[in-house]
Amino acid sequence: MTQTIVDVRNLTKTFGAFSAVNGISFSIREGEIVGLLGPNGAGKTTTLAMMLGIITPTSGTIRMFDMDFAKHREDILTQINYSSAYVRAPWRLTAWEHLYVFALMYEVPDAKKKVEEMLETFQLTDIRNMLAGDLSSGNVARLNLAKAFINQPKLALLDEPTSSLDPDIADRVRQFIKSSRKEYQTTMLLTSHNMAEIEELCDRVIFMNHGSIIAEDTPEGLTKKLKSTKVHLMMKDGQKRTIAYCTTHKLPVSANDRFVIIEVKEHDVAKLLTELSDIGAEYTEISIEKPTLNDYFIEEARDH
Amino acid sequence: MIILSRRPVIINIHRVNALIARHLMSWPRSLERLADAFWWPTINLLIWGFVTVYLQSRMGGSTFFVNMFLGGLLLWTLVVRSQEDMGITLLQEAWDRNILNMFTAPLTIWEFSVATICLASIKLLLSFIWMFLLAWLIFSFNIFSFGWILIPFAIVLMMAGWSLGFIINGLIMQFGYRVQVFAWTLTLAIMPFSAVYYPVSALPTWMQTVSRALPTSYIFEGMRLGIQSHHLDFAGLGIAFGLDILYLILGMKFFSYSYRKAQKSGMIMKFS
Repeated sequence: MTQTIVDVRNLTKTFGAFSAVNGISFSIREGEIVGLLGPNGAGKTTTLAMMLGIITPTSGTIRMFDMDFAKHREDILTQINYSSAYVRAPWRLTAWEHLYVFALMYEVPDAKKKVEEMLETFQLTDIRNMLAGDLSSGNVARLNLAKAFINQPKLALLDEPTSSLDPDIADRVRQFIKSSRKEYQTTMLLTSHNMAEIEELCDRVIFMNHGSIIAEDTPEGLTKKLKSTKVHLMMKDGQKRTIAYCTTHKLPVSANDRFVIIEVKEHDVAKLLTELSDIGAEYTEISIEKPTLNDYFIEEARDH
Repeated sequence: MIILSRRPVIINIHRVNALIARHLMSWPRSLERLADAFWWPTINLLIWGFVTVYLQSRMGGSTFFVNMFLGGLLLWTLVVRSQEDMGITLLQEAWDRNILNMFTAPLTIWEFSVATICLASIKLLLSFIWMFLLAWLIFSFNIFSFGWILIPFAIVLMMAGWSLGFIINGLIMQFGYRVQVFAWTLTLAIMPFSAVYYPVSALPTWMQTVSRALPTSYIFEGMRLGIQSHHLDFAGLGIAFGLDILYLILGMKFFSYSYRKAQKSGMIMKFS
């Protein structure tokens, strides 16, 4: 049975009258990749900050590696690492020097060799001697990721790891994340606004809004919570009858030129198509669009 | 027993080394920091040096003014540089948007403090050597003519700078960039009371009272006594050292309190 790496219980953070995080609880098992999602102001960053010790919780407990964070900060932080799209590297240090400083900070054995390894993994070898202040935002993001894995952490907290990266580099980063989990059982908690990335990487998603966890499931599980499927029809005949049918049956429908889009529960698609056939509606093309994590995100963000 | 923290303070030398390496690697590439360390002290030295040369010529060639002014200037540099470098080390992390990287690493605030003191001392040593050489070459002033007493003088003045450095770092932690100006100006606030270029007796009574509570005033009084009569004021040195210990402990407690307050208010996040 896999070990629980993170165990958060009733975590709350208030700033004066404003409640940023409201009594959330969750746990993460070894080797799991968990996505922390939610709209801006949902409480994700505050939660990560509390897990890193830079914000003190108002109440609740954070346990990592079976240790209380409040009592074992240094022991825990030695085993984890962090990367954020909003953090830069010192302007006047080269990429190599920045990584070397953190290799020393985390007491990485054979620090210089490890730095070379990370430069190569994140394709930073060409810019190793460039000052961080002269690097593009994409290169800084890669440098931050290289720093986040310099100590081969047991737990990596990644705040938007692939934002500002070109698609091919972002893909390489995702492959690295997957291989890191596979080879070293690295546990990861990541935030992202790229829903496709979350679906690709995460075993589980914790969805937050207004400081509370409103859903926790696999990416597929969350999308299944959305009942409606969109049926796109390119009409040959009976467009008006189709719209009238939908209106009568209270199905959301929209029409544009010869195209009709009907929202219907997934298990009612077959019945819809049969009944449209019965009323003489004919179509030349059909496509069925299942809900995605992006749809779930939009719906939850709007509803709450 | 003095309690600075609720838990035993353990310093990990590797993390201290990492922070020192980070700043020593970037320091020579920063014109602003090099100006702080060499340019401004040089300008100060030249201005005060020529003023004292002029006064010396008007006073019949007495070396008293040269020794008093240039001695005061060089020793005051120890306070200023110690304090400024502590404040600027923290600010540099904030300006570089690297503070989250630092404080999400296992680095403790005590390791950070030890590293900033080491950095301030290394940079100060280089500044001081530069100023000593200039004063010696241009004005034939040798600070080492004060003898071995220079060592405890220097230690007391550096400790006074560190105490102020802790206070400034605490203020930055609590109030952020709004108070960063104190990193350059706080020593100026205590300078008039420190009696760097004049005796404490020249101050109004109320200022003399404040002056007596500052370790720096005893050192500059001691320096003038040494120049005039070649006597050493051991009692003054002892009081200065005692006050330094007191202010250093208070400064460290204030910094520790401010860090905890910044963790509660979320101020550290606002530096990124």
